[in-house]
Amino acid sequence: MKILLIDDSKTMRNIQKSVLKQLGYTEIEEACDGQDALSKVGAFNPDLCLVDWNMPVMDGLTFVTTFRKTDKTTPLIMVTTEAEKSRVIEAIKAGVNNYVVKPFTPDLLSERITETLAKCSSVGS
Amino acid sequence: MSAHGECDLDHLLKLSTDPNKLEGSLLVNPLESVKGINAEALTAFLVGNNVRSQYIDAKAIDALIEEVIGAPLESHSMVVANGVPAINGQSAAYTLDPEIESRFDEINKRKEAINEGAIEQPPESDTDKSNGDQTVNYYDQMAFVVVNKGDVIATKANRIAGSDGTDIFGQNIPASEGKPNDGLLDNSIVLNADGRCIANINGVLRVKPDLMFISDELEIRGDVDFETGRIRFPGNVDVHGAVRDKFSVRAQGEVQIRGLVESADLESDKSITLSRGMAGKAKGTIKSKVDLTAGYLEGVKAEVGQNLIIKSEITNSDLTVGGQIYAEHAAVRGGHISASKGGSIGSIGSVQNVVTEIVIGSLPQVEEQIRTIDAFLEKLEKEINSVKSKLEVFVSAIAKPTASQIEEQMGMQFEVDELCLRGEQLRKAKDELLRIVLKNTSAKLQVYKAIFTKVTLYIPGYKVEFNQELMGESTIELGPTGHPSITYRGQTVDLKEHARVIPDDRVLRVVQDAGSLRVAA
Repeated sequence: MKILLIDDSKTMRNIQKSVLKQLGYTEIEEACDGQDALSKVGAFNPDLCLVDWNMPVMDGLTFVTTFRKTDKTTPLIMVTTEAEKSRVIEAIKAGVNNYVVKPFTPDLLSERITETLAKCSSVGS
Repeated sequence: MSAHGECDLDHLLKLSTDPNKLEGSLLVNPLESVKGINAEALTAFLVGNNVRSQYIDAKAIDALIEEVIGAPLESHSMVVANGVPAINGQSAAYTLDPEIESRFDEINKRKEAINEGAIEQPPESDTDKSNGDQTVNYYDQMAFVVVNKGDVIATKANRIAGSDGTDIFGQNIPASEGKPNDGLLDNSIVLNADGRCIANINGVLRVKPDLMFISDELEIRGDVDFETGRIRFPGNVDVHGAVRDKFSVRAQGEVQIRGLVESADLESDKSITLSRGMAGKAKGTIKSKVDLTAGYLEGVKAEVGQNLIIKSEITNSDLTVGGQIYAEHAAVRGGHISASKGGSIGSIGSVQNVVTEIVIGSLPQVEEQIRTIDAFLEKLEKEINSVKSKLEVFVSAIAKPTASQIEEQMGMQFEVDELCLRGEQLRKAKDELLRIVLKNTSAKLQVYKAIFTKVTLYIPGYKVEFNQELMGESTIELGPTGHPSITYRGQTVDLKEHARVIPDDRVLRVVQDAGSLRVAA
């Protein structure tokens, strides 16, 4: 399972990486903004992306919109401080599969990842 | 003249041969008459004497005739017939590998040097390598060829068949056959299909005229000195003589030294037995992964993986023993002995009040690791508290955090979690080490004859100073309460009654409380 972490904060990426490693995922790639992520998806070919919303150069929502033009299936989880209902709806409309609001606990993130992967795999099959 | 030997000249001719009848010489006495001497006549004579025509040398006959006619003498002789000699077969031959051969050459040079007295005096400097001036360090050059499994020892050339010959009369001359020499190798050397002889075991290579083999035991009938060099051997070593100053015996198997060991170094992956003992002069060292048995040890630094068995005496030695010390009849005077599982000793110290230190129930290396972990944990605890208080201040100061503040807060919480996790891992490692200490130590020492003054005993959690002699049998141990007790003259009492007992953490005291292990304060 290959997972792409897209967040401008290295600390946040480290936190997410730590949770993923505890879940047993070791193939992890990092990107510091949406544009960086788009340049990496082709070669890395992720099975799951965790995307922050507010990032410099290209924000998470723009990344999701652009990514979904070519890839409709890879699960995307928005991990953000944007907690308003309207923002959540906006993200889901753009194509995210799940939504995690910061601050989150490792347990919550782990739960959402497992839930998303299970849902997407059942849809796929 | 007629064919087949009836020739007018017969009375002038005589045929002679060498012992193998491979050469036929014709003797001619031509003085009476050289008339009628010609090749046909001589050939007919030879054939008449059963010489096979194919072995007659026509040119030689012509030359003989020319000589007889040209310069007649009283007699002429010439080899005129040649048989075919037998070519004997060649025996199978073993050629040592050039590297092995050169090692034997070096050993021979070494022997010559010893015989010439070139190394009577030990070299001034005991360096481990040859010097730039090509001199050899005879300490390090071992007088044995030691090989490892898989090494190429020699190459075998198979025997070559011979071919029979024929004498000038057509009789067969049998060729001798080469020997197969199959029995030259035993099971310690394997002969490959390509003729390479490969070592099947590690050991010393012995090459004799009728046998080549590898022995996994090195038996040295004399001393370990300049005649043998320092010994490094992959199997057992049995030295019948002594081990001299500055020499060493290092073996992967058992080591037995029947003579005296001087200021030398001994090392074994198994046990070491010194029938006499070691006079180490404060420089001798012993490392035995299993047991060390000796008559006596003097001025020795030793590390023993399991038990130390001493018959008569330990003097001024520094010994670390992983198991028990069995020295019921021995006197321990001076130096330092640490025995993880305690043991039994004849007497400790001396009437001259020599300072003697005994440590029991300690695993020094493991305890050092526990102390290191404790220091880490203390540092970690401080760090956790510092980040936690920063986090508390941060959270209480902000009513509605911004996105970056939320992330900062998460970062701090993550740091606390990571530090706590690291602490947990260290505590687990410490628990494991404590378990090792508990399992592999015993704080019981039995003394049969006497404990003299100036003896210091370290037992888990305590330092014990003996300021009065205790004559007779005594047993010192940590009682059920964790306090040191002594059974002396049939009475078990607090050790404080016979010695000065001071709480001390040089040897950690591991206790078990409700299933969990800890170091007692």
